[in-house]
Amino acid sequence: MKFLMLLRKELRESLPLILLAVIALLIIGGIALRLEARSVRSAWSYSSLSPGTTANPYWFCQFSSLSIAGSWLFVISIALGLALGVLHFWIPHFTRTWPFLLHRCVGKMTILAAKLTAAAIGCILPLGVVWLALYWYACRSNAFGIPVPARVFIDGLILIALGLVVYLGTALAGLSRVRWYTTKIFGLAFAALVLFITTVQFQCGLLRACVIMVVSIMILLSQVVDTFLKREY
Amino acid sequence: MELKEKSKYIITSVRVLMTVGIILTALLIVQLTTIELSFLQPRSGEKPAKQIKEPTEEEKRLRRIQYSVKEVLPDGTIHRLYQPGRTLYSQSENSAKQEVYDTNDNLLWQGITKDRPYKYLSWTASAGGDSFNARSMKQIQMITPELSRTLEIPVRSQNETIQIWRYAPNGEFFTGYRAGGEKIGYAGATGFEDSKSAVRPFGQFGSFFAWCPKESFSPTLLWQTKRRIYQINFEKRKVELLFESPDADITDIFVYTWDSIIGGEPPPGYRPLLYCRTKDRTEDRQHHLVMRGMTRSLTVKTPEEWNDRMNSQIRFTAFEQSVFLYREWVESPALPNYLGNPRHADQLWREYRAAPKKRRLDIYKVDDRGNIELISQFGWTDPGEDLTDPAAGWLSVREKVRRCVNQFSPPFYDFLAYLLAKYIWSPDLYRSIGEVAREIIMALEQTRPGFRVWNWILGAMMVGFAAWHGWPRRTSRAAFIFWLTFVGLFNLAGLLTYLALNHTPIIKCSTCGKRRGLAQPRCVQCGADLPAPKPGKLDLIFDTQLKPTT
Repeated sequence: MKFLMLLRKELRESLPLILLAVIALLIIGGIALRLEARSVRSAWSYSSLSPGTTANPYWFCQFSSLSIAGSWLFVISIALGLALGVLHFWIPHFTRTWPFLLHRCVGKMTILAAKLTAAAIGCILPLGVVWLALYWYACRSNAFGIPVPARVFIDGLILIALGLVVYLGTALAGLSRVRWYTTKIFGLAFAALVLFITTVQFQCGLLRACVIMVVSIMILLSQVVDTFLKREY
Repeated sequence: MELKEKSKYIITSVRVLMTVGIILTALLIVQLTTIELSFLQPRSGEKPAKQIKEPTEEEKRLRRIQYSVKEVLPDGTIHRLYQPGRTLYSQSENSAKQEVYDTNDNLLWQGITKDRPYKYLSWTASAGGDSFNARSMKQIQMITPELSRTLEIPVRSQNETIQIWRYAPNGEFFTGYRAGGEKIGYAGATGFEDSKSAVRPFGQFGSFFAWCPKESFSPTLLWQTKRRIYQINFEKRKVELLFESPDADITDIFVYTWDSIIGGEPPPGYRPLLYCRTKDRTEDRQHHLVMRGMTRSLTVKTPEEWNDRMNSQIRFTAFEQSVFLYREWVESPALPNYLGNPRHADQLWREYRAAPKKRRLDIYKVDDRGNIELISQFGWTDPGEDLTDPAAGWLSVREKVRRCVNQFSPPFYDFLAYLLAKYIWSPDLYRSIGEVAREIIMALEQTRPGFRVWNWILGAMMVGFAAWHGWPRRTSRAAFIFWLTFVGLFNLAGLLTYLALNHTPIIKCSTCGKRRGLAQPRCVQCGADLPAPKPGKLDLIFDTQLKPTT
């Protein structure tokens, strides 16, 4: 009961940020899709093909119609994770309101669980629903030629989950009591490393990306829980 | 051990790993950046000009041979084409001056290249930059901020796309869609099918390249898998199996005038030719030829000792009724064995580059059964590289900086490099391992200390500092020894990790006056307890043994 009340409180406080992210993704993603629908991308992609000539194989490597929306999803997901992490763990420190939260008749673990659950719901569910809607529109509409492959939808879910990694990294950085020029930012540095490995380097396929994400979330989560429980407020 | 105790150790270990991982990454970035920045040669107007002495006639002759292109006439005669003032790697221009020599260094002709009276054989070439291989396929499936990509082959009429065939990497087949989105069928190893259950996968992807045949705007693909080569025409809905290797994997394919791919219209007399190399588990390489109109491929019987020569180039051509084989190789010295000597691999490589090399060019004729017959050959000696050249000097500056910077790397990098030496120095093995492993091995090879004394001296100094720092702060003997070992193994990264996780305040013990940490309740030197705070006037909690003042 206490956990649910705290969860509601955290969700209520996080609602403006979540709504902002959802609306931003909906508007920008929608505009990007409409622009894709109107473009003659598929026509000019193959305009270099002419009889009796060799073809550059990379001309046939096509981004889906959700590629622009996907890049915005990546940015918004990371921004939301960062913002929620600051809201949950940095602002109480700056405004010195930790004691008001911690001296209630609930355990520290319950408080932390409520924050983490609110962040998980806030990062994944709303953006996931919007992404599903965009994917459904891209598949159903005749304006995009052939339907988007299912793999693209899963890529989007991975990008959404990266927001959770950033949130945990921000949380760890916020909870750390050491100086900023020592290991305070290591949480964020670790999250940045995970982002880099998953999206840029090492040709991460789907399975590898999922494994990296799960392992990194477990590492950050364990550190966040340990730091939160041991720290003095 | 209780769950809480176990979880405490797990969390501590994870924290240590996370910290050392981040610090090692940061150290790697700093090291590689420093090494690459040292490659930027500063401009200096005061640098003395290198004294160039006039080459002798013999040196001029050797340079002419070294920098000339070796071409072959249809009768097997070898000519050397030399462009004065050009090096081997420069492109020859049709308007440039050219000299033609025979193998005895007799000048046969000189003039403008486009007026040359000789017609030389053209050879199979790799699709090179126009090919798309397994690595490229992995790259397009990467999860990026713009999501992953797919391979889509269009069927077009003039300027309109009427069908798109999308490749499914998991299923290894193509799915066809009409331009409006309606699914129209599948393409697999057995051809075009209407249902997914009937389609058969092509096999593990190797490479492909594409061209548009004459009078068609739709591409045809030459699709190579691990054991087969297909020709796929989506417009005509035709899948043709060109070659199959039942026992060995296909490693490379080369083509010449295969349906007008390279060079446009095939010159008269040439037959379209596909040359592919295979390699089985015993590292035995074979060479197979597929020509237009042939019902089966021709396997060229080459001597076994050719497999041992890593630095040889083999090409084929089918001209009129004959098939020719071109083989250029280094007769001596043999490539040094780096595998057994990773520590001196750099030195061995420099010595190999500086040594003169005897090269050979052999031209063979291939009969209908795949037997080869030597028809002409030419040998020459390439002088070794001049490693005292200023250009080579840049490399030595970079090498010196690399050695300096790498002394801060963990010493166990050397042991790892020793264990992985067979992957570092064997090109075939290096190509066969995954991308992640290859990147790690490259970083390891670039940043390892090289078993140098300075690395051990620096490591010992850091361990000494960690011991001096950690002695008053120690909580247990085991933890103290663990951290000293950790710093010794990881060098600078280990010391920084230790300081990040263990730099706690220390005070002077009120009993013995020595430094002590606050993590232990008792002083590590004298065993005294931490001093209790003195009660002040406003303290609410009194010691019951004290009498309250009135």
